[in-house]
Amino acid sequence: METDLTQGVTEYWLRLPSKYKEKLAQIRVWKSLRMATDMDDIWVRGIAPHQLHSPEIRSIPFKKIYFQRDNALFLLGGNLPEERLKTSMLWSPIDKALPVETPEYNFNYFGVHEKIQFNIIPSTVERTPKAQLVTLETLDMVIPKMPAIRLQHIQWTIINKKALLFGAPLLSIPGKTYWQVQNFLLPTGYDLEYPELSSYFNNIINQNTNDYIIVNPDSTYFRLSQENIKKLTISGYRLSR
Amino acid sequence: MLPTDVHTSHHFFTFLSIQNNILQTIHHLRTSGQFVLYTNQPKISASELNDVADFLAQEYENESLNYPFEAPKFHREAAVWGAKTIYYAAQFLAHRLEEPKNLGKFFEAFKGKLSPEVQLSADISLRFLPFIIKELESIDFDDWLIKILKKNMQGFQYSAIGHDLELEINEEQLATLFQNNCFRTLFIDRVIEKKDIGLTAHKIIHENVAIHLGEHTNHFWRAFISEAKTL
Repeated sequence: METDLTQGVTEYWLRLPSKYKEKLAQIRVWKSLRMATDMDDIWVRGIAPHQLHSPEIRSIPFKKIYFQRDNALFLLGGNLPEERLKTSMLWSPIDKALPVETPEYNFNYFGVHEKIQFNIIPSTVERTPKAQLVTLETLDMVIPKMPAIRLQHIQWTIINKKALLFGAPLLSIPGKTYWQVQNFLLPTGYDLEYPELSSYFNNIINQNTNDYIIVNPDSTYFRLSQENIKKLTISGYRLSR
Repeated sequence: MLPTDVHTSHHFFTFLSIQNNILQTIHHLRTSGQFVLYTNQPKISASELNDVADFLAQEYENESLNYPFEAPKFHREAAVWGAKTIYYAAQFLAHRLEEPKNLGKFFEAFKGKLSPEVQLSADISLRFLPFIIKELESIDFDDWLIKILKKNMQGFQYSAIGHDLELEINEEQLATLFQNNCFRTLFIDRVIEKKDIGLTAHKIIHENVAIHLGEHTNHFWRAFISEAKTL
């Protein structure tokens, strides 16, 4: 059986006719990539295996993907060398090679009435959870048994027959967790669709208040006044139940 | 001056028309954390003690609301014994006419089983005793009274946590007391709160502190880890 030539490949090469240069815009932010020009073609190298199947790469049209082996470039999926290894090319970081131009101001643009929806989207950036939504039944079981040191930093409030606990480290009990972006409490794993606009959204939702804005996974939200959040103690919990 | 006890809840308490010195002193201690003496006569009557016991029962009830698990029942004799001990200790700290050898009759050791109820009920006033012992030590390190008080506190390590009184710890006795979930949690909570690293040299305390801190040891008590490594 023949061996898979792509085994052990750590980087892929991408070849694209120069006239489709703009199609590289979406991968311009990947710092590991380097780019060179050769006649009518653009070469990009440094594409990691896990990036190869990303939507950003797959959506580039008219591209050819190569991998390198023994001074030769093989077309992806091919068993015969396609090109000699390019040694004479001048490689530069892709964000240097593809400078960004700001568009000229469009005086004829009429889309100023378009609006942006407040949305949250799944995020890959990991943060420390700040709050936790727990059913009261769960709390009933654990609070009286909790060492004081674990409760010391915890604050809480009751929302809709559930308890929202604040403070790190959170208690090790099942519940939905949230992390904090400014005054927003987002479900863990989500981020604002337009993080740049977070303070803008905050000012609109929180007019003259400093409430927490708790966002549900379906992008709906509700406000929670910080004054309603109290220190969690065993006695306080017992008297509240 | 003694620190204010955070657990104390302020509530109204009606004094009886006759002046009850020990009650006033203990009440003041519990509500403001300060010791005020109203007389220099170390005398306590039975009815005065009865009122003190009622007051302490009320205090215990308020405080036990914050106890984990199920709080043990209030133990009247132990609470009164604790109040008496600290009252006399403060009396003789401020004003002493008696000969040292006669002090013994005021301070008798607690007679009875040292159950969790006894420990927690006595602690209501006994937790302030280490401060008085410290005061006595700064006046005269070889004071008779210190020896008596330390001897009486021997079984009540819970009230001495964090004060470095060098009481002997009876691990066997502690193991029996620790069978009570409420007492064990309170005891370990206090060790962690006061960061009494010396006590964690005892295996039974060390184990339980480790359980309480869980995986957050590093976050809550850095020194505890290094102690664990040396063991």
